Amino acid sequence: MSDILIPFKPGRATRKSVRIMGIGGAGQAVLSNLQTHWEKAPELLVIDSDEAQLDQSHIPERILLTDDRLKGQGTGGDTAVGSKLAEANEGKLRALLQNTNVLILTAGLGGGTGGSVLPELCRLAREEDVITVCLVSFPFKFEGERTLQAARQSLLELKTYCGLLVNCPLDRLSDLAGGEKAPLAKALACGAEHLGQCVQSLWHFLAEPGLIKLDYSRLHAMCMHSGGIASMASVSATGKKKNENLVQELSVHPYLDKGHVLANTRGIVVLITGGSSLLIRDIEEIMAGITELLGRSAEISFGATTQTGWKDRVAVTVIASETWCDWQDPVTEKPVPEQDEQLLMPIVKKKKGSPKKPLPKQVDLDLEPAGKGRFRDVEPTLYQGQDLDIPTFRRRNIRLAGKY
Amino acid sequence: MGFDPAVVVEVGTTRVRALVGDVREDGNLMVTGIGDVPSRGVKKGEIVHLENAVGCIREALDQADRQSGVTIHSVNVVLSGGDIAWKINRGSIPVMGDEYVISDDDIEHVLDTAKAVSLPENREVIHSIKQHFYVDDHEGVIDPQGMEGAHLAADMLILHGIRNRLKQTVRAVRSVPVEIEDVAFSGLCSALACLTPDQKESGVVVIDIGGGTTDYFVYANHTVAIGGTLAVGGDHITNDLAIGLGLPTRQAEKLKRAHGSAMIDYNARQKTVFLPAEGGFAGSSVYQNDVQSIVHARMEETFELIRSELDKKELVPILGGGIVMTGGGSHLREVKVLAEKTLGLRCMQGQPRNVSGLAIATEGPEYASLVGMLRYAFLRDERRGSPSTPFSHILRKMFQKG
Repeated sequence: MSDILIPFKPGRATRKSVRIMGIGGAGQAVLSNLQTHWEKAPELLVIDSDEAQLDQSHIPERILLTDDRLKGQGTGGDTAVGSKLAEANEGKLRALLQNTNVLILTAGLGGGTGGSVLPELCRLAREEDVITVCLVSFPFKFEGERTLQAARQSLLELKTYCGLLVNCPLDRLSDLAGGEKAPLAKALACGAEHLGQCVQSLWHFLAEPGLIKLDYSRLHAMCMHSGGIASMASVSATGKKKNENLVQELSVHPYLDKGHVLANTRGIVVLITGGSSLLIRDIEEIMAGITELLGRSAEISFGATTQTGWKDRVAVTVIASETWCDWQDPVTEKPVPEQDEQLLMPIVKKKKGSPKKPLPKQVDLDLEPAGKGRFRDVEPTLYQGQDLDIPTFRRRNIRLAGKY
Repeated sequence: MGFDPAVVVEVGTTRVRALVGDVREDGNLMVTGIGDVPSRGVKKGEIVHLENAVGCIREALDQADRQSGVTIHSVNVVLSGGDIAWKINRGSIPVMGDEYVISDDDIEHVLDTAKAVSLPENREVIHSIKQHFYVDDHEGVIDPQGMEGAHLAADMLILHGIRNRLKQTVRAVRSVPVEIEDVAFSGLCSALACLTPDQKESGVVVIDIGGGTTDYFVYANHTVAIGGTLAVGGDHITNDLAIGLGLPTRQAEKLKRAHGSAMIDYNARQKTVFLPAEGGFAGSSVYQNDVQSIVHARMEETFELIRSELDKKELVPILGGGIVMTGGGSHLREVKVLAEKTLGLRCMQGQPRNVSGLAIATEGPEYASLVGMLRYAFLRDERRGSPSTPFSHILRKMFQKG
């Protein structure tokens, strides 16, 4: 969870400053798939520890992480090896972050490289003031306890370091691919494709001027507020009833827990992409449909863009977060409340190590840790990537019945 | 009663306590003086405000002093902060005894080798506790003296903590001013106070839930298996309630004591608790389930953390004696039920044994670590002449200026 403040650089979102990277075998697969379908894709980049696997990739930019011991061999599914590799290649990773504002990352958890290098990269990104959006896949249950444990561990670390984290459990793939009878190859292909669509949507909205632009501040708000892990789903349709169909597909989408997520959503970002024939009415109908699916008072952020060559195809990508940490606009922030009134303060933590650049003036925030009550002046107790001083019920997103 | 009275002190997060006691011929401890004052300047078992802490320690010692009639010169200090953790170090030597018969020298030699553990720069050994010996292929040997073998190895359980933080506590006590006789890990003390020989035989984990820290100490396979401290305690429950329910700390603490429960009662969904206005607090109404949810989450996590320590050595299946829970936190409703659920072991209330004298000390689980330290002090005096702990060696060297 991004409970430290990442000062964002407003305006001037050039193509270069939003980068897409895939880490590990799964990350490569997603980007390869994307590369094939996306004509005007920006430079994609893959990072891996397995030289042979990297060589086979069609992605133009490839970074090999290796050290004296491995010499281009993969991590063999061992996260400990992966972590050491990430440490050894810190310089290389840091270099990738230069001239970047937002990093869209994708990887598969549970293996060796993806799950251990990704959190490390996010940690460095934080230090370099780069916002990270991570779209990760979570292993199948049948992959075994060790893999699942490693994946859980990575997820915990990512929550701490990553800006916005989207988890896509592979177990839900069979629903996406059309039922339990879907062959494994098809299911995996569907999964990679879905992740790819999400990556593409995000990129369009961040890197290109859109009709209605979803800019950094929205994404930033999402990162700050999501309180952990968000859900993401992407659907597309054509034809007469496309608006209805889009909403319908979203309402039963496995990655939105068949609509459950929407019903419980506290914050949602809706990205609509269409061809040149996209009408205002289309957008109205789609937004109306989605709003109906949403629960009580969800905060909605919205962006729309058109792509050439899409004709009448429309795609909708939603990022939804079921948890929302109340946060106040930094510019109009009220003075720090007394020690015992911690409720409405952001969960902000002191940054580890010294920031490379001073914070921009408009984000005039008190970096004192709040939301930790008695423990705000004490060194945090960190255990497996979690700060134990932050209330457990918060970290576990346990909802309370009352409003306090 | 061959020994001088011993004085023990614990600089806790909620209370600073001191005991003065004697040991009788039959081994029973007699508490003759108690000091118990609110703690100021300690958070999560660490001293964050030296002057305040020193004041509290002085006050606690004064109380115990007056009550017992013993003038206090030197004390034994119970340690629980400093992120105390465990590491098992193995030492291995070729047997040098005649005809490969293992001699006392061999045993001493291998134990020294096992004690030579490499720790991070900032850490200091507090206890080295011998576990098992290995004679060639023979594992789990308790006493290898007289056995034959080419190689002798030994496992040593090393309990270590962050030097600077532990020194803070020591410095605070010294500043009272008073001498320091010895130091010991609070988990070890609680175990010494509460456990029966049977429990140690069967395998058992002692969990001491304090205000700022939770300690665990495990016996298994006839030795001490692991031990350590988590910087999470009753204070965290209070804080969680304060943040989650929008209450001042005082009210949260009262709420915890009156209505806190480690298990959630799903039959009482709509039930609310009314908190009357007081001082600067306007009064509030909270759902009882919310109180329970918050407490449950925190305690469950704490027990899960202990479970993961136990799992590192696969201890759960061999702890026939289950869990013995002590410390102030053991008063929390349903906490033993939750511990049983999370750790998969029977849980019973622990309290100081074989101790008489002032009632609070003898019956309260809050005093387990202190009574245990008394026991530790007298056991050590029995073995007079043998060094107590490496840390106190260093202490003596450091503070011996005259």
